[in-house]
Amino acid sequence: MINKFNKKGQIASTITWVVAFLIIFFMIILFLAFTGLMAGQRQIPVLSFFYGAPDEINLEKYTAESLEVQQGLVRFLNTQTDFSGEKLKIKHLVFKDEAGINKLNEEAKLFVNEGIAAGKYERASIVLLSAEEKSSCILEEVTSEIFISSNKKIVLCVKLK
Amino acid sequence: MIIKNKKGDLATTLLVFMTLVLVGAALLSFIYSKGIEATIADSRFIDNLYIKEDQIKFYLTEAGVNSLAKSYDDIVKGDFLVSSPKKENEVLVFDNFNENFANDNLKEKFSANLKREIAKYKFNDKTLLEFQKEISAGKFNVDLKDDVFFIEFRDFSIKGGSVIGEKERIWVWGFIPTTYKEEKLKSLISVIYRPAFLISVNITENGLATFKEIYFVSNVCKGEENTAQCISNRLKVFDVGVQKQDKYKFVSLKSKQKFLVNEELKNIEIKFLI
Repeated sequence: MINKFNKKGQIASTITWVVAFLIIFFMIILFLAFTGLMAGQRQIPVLSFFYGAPDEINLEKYTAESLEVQQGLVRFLNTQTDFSGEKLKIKHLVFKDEAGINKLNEEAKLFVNEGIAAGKYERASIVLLSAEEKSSCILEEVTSEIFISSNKKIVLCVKLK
Repeated sequence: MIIKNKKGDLATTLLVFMTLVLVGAALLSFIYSKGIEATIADSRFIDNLYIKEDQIKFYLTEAGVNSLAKSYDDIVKGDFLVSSPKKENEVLVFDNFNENFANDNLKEKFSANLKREIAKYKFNDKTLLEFQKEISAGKFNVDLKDDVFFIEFRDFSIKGGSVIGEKERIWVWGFIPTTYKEEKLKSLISVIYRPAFLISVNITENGLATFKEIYFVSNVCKGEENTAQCISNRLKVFDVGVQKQDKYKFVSLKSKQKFLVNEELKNIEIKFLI
């Protein structure tokens, strides 16, 4: 009964709804298009605009250690050497007296010089440190350290070519 | 009243249904899309993880060889070689041998020594400290097959991350154009690598011989005139000494190779009577 006498109000209400529907519909279409666009991309366009392409990977900066350098150090430590008529692995020289340490330093020098002569390293050094000591390698050098006893470690610092 | 308000209800219902359809379509689009794809062709990106894997392998192998030497030494010095040892002047008469008994003892000692060997390192690297913790907690398996010890260490995650994007951002404030703020933005890629470590430590290749072999060779050679030569020809990893002692022969086997036992380089010596 009320509606029968309020026809204009009814039409107005419907028109409002239709307009509202169109607006919401348009917004959802936009949402759909935007999500579809994003789904196939690797980056968020808005963020990319401000921060640069986040999928770009610069490897040079992030390789602080080198697998090859470490494997070289392990090979060096497992190399057999003659020490006072005994056949010993280089890593075991630290368990000998001072002469053993001197022999280790000699072998280290040879290893480093071979690496430089072979063109693998620009410069390199091997030092024997106690477990708590920090290596003195400089920032541009690749560091590799291996513990050879409970309180001793061998550190190889290499500036790669 | 409701029947007469049909047009208004139709628009509302339509709105609800269309919204549902569109949201559903959007979700489907997300589900079936390929998402983010990035191919990293350069292996250097995960070099740090391989370095840690290599280090763990190195320390497991080192600890394995040292544990073998220490366990072997413990076995030959204690009463762990035969189940009911018969002795003459405190020297074992090697006239019976139970392989399972000796191997079980060797395996048990090997596991305990492996934990001790890994625990001795004063690591400061996070991954290596975690590895040390896992080994100390006994999260590894040891098996002995013939003359090879197998150390199996699984379910260990090596976590790594690399900064893959670093860019300076300059915000110029609209209101005060002369001031700006610099920020270094970093995008980080995290990688979790779970390698399975299977380290083998060969008794023979490491300069020792299995107890079974020593028992077998001793029995074969005890009747020989030149027992020392006979044993030496068969057990090349030892320097052999044989002396006549009453009704027995005193055999001394000294490993040619030196081993790290309790951080001291020494030969392993086995003494027994045959």
